[in-house]
Amino acid sequence: MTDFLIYLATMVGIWGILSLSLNLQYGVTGLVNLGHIVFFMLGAYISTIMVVLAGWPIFLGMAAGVVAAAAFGALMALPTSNLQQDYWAISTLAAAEIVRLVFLNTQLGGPYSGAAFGMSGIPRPLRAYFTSGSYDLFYMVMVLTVLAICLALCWWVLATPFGRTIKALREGDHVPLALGKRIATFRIRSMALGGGIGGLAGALFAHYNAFISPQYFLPLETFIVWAMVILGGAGNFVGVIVGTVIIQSIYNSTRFLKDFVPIDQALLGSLRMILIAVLIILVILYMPKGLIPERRRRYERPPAAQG
Amino acid sequence: MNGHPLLKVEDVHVHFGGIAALAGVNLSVPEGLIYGLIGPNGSGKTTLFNVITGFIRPDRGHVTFAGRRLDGLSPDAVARAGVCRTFQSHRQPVTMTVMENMLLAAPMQSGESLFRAATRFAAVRGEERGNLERAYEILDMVMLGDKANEYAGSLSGGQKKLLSLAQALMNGPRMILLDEPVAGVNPRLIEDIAAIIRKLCHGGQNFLVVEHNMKVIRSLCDQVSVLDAGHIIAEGEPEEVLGRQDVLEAYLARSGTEARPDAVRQE
Amino acid sequence: MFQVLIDSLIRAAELSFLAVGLTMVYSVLRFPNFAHVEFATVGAYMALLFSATLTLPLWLAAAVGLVLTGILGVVIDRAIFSRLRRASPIMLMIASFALGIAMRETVRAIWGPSPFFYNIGLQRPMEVMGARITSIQIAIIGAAVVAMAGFHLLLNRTRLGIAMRAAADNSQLAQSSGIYTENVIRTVWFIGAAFAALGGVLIALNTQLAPDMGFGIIIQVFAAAILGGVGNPYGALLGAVIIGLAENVGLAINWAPLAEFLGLSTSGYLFIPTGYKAAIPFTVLILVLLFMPSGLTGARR
Ligand SMILES: Nc1ncnc2c1ncn2[C@@H]1O[C@H](COP(=O)(O)OP(=O)(O)OP(=O)(O)O)[C@@H](O)[C@H]1O
Ligand SMILES: [Mg+2]
Repeated sequence: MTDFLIYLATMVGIWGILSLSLNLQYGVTGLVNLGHIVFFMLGAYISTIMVVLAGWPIFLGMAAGVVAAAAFGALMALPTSNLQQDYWAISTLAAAEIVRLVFLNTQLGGPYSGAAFGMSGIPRPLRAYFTSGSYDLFYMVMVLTVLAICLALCWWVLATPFGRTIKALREGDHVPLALGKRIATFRIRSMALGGGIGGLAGALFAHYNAFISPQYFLPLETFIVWAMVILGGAGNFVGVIVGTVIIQSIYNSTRFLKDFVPIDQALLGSLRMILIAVLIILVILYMPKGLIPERRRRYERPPAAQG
Repeated sequence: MNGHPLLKVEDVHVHFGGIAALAGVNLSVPEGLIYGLIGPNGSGKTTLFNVITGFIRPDRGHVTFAGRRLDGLSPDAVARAGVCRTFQSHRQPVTMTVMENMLLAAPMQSGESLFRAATRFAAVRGEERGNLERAYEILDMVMLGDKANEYAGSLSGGQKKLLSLAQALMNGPRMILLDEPVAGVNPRLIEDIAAIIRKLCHGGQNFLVVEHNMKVIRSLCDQVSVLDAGHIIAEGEPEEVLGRQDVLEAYLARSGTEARPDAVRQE
Repeated sequence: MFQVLIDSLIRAAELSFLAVGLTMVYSVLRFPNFAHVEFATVGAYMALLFSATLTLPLWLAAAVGLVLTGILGVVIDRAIFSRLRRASPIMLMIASFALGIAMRETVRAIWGPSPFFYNIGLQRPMEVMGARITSIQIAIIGAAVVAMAGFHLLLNRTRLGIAMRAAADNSQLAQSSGIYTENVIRTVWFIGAAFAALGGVLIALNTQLAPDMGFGIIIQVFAAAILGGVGNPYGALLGAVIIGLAENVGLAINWAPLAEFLGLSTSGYLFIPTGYKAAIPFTVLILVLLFMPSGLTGARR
């Protein structure tokens, strides 16, 4: 039971970081990124490649994963001003799948030689300093600390004039343009920032799981991230973490339930996805702002403007 | 006034499919006054605003502002060149508060760069404080001071018009283009909005105003131009222009009821 | 090369059923329905259910499955999308994504993850001009031609058809003049879902039934619809042909001359690895969106 809770908390941490990054892109900036998992994938793969194949230190490899994901985010943002929202959304789905196909079809070396077999034997950071029992606890604490730092970062971003401007973009280009904002660069920076944070989640996942394969980065996983954001409350960073806790609990419950409920694993896997999908449809129908809606930022009258 | 017009529109043509929305429009707006642009529904007023502010590329023609070519610039570049426009329909982000809308409008904020927001923390903070004070001053002037922390979506139609004017002011442009600033606003508030615009003009703010309410046009504008089916058919002082037979006929031909100049005269 | 053409044609026939339905729902309801491809899966499995379990002849089972899937489309619209008529297209997109997962996973939960085949025996391919083709495949192409002809009549002889073409010509106008009564919307859902189901049955005939059979071609279907210009069923048909060709011809072509023309050295042979077959329509889609967002026929924007 404790092992399960530690595992769950670690997953909440990793996926929480991912949902923060989608919230930055969708909840704040209004970019409907249906290929969000691509950042997770790039963070995981690039970090693994740099560490396993190029022999970089783990934390440097993770940084490379973050940079790669951020760069890809910036790239995805380039056509936003020329495309209708729905068309851009469809193309993000395609872009993520193209990247996945590349990893699926590329022999990378390593024990399982990449491609469809995935990459295994990914080293875990600071592993030598812990017993096998306490390492999972350490990793959980590390991941949750990173989550807290990312949350603080997101809050800070939202409080800056930058955050205010990307928030305005969510309701259309006209007003920001008429006020002189260079909207393309704001979108690019928002996508890069969200991409980088998503990449960090991916790198943390790869070095925790010690194995990755293209099967982990299906469009279905993007939906899981969306479910966490929609359920928790788009625009509210605490909300999406609450959403993450709920969705991850459902998602990972099979791991826990399998010891108690005598149903087939595959069936249980389908049932949990049906549950999440139906839950999201109900949220959209009856609670479109999510569990914890976005809060307004108050600006009190400064003493100098009393009157 | 130094003789050179502040805003100059020369021979602007715009086509939508086969329809000519603007067919060779010329306009000269001198510095220091409120200039009116009127015309029946569909005559091309908003389209001309879109051309001036870079939202539409003209098929032909030039726009010059303070000696600088505007045509070919993107809308944001036009705004940074000192021309800020409002929209005929409400477009302000409604899930942001009035104050957030105002702070958004402040020009050249160094905190729009995350790098500077992180490294020059104190400077950005000081800038924010200054903007906040200015925003409250402007909001007080347009009577929205106590709505600062309400969502823009919760404002009435007239208040939204005021917010867009306030946003434009916050942006601090040399010229403000208002697209129907009093349409759909109750008569009491119309008076107030007109008074505010007049006061701002006395303070040196340049305006180009599109409006169907002829009473407001008469009381506000120093000069007007009349657009009809993409052509400028008259220009001059409001009293004189609105009395002209061809202008009246242009309005009657389109039978825009609320937009008839004589409808106001009979009041 | 003739073989490549035949393969492309079969693929185009399969895709066209989904793309035509998708483009209709897209233009009438103004959102990309990510659950659309799942109607193909559901339709194919329903045909399996009625033919295998109730031992109906396959054509009858398919017909029953088609109608039931069409009804399912209408029911889904009633239950979910009719309540979201005023919601933002983003919410509709996400809801349809969730719905698609629910449908797919329901199929997987009922029938399990392993593939099924219709009981049609082993198909012996015949030789036509050096190409190998089975009678089933000929039937697929035939069915596509017949169904599209019927659809053409529907578009030109019925009220729905008039509304549809109004959508392709000027969606704003059609919407504001209220041509889209709820009745038209229902009909579009029914036809869209039923067409997708037919496409699903054909795909299953040609290959196999699997829970991911619909979602596996979602990008191809979207690419075909967008290539043809959203709201234009004939365009979607054309788009399906182009995607079918791109997938098969793209793999069959030796790209070495082009690569050498671009200054890359090759060994004289450069083929796209089959693993990247799926990447072809994805790339076509992205290129179309970047450079030709209103599609070949310029129906939108
Ligand atoms: N984006 C567009 N596409 C096609 N036609 C347009 C477009 N924008 C405007 N038009 C057409 O151009 C003409 C001029 O429109 P415009 O909006 O400039 O008129 P207006 O003078 O502002 O009218 P109103 O007083 O009703 O606001 C109209 O016939 C209109 O239908
Ligand atoms: Mg107008």
